[in-house]
Amino acid sequence: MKRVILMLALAACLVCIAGRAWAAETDTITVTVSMESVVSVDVTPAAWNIGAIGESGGSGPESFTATNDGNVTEDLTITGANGANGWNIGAAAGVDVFAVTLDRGELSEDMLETSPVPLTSSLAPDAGHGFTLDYSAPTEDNQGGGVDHSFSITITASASP
Amino acid sequence: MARLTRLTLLFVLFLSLIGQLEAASLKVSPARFIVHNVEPGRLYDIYKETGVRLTIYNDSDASRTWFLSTHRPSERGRWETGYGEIPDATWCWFETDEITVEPNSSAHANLYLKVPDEEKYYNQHWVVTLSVGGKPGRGFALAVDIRVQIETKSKVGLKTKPYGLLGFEPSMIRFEDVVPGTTRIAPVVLYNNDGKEHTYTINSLFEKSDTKRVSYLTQLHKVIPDSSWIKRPEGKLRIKPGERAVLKMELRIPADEANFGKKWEDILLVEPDDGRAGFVRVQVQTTEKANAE
Repeated sequence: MKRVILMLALAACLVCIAGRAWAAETDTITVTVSMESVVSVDVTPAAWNIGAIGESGGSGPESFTATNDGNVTEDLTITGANGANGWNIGAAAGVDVFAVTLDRGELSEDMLETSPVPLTSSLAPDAGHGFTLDYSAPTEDNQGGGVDHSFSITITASASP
Repeated sequence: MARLTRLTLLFVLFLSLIGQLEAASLKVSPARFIVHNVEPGRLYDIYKETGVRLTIYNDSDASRTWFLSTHRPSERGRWETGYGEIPDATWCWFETDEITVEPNSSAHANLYLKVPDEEKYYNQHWVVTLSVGGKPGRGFALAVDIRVQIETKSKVGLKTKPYGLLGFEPSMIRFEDVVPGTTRIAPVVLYNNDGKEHTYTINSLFEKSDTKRVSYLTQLHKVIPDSSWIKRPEGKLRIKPGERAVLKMELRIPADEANFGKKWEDILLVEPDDGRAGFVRVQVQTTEKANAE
């Protein structure tokens, strides 16, 4: 009789264990994460004062450094944006269109667009990547002189896959 | 006069405020994470269920406001091998679209996830990109992208084909209580959901030298010491359009004392001749030596 009770108790335990395992599989999600991992980016100098440029003029190349301040290797992209008050960014300067040439060093030159362009990949923590930007003003302006046509450039960092 | 106007110097103020210099630093943690076992149809508050949320640090002396958004990874850059893109990035969202971080402080961003309740969304491996960025304006803006690897629940007995050009059933094989020295077998169905014939090769992702293993491993698991312990079809596997093939995965862990009580993992990468690769996650838990005796 004791043996039967023991067997029943064991069976009940097994059902409980199996039930717990089933619940874990159907109802819970788990996350794998390294909480110490940090993505961070810094750009110096943070300003590019192009100043006053006439039609079809250029700024000349200006050097910058993007630094990986995180603790994982990073990919960096760079994205241009249309300017204020009717100027758009383009692959080449044109009417109300300005262009920004990107020189990434080891890679070939590229033009900034409104979608991300690779800046560098697998940048080690604490490492920096130099690049130069060269601004070309529109060949013709239909918006009038003295208008603010400022624009932004976004540097995006992500952990390298 | 018009010519004079045209010749008027065009002011391009790229960054006019020196104060914005401080904005040129952004730090976010974690850099990436994997969410496993997501069930289609269920709403997940990721922080509530797992304790994981984004932390955004502000090391400057001024408060900063950042904008939060979700994207398909192809909009942002590279992503992990074997994962597809989430079909719709809005299935993943933040509690709020913007967040202000006080000076020399940090703030948290909570994430929610809901995959539509459709059977085809089981057995999926996707990536969604979370973006933390400054408001577009003038000057340098910084942004950080965090990739989340979403793995929906692995399931067999599907009544519909799994989503994607390359489908799996199941998407994860779990060998539990494996006694070293014995053999275990598990089938996997591979679906060619494309309109043309493909050939596929199957190899361990961890055999590739450029693989960041930590990006793929489940917590508490280590890479299987020898990927040849999991035998899979060798050579090229040909599957006609719209058809499927059943693969047999055979596990044999050598009968060595060192192989007891382990939790190992392998990622079997299935690479088509054309298109993105997919994978089957294989988990192996060997029994404790005392239990085997």
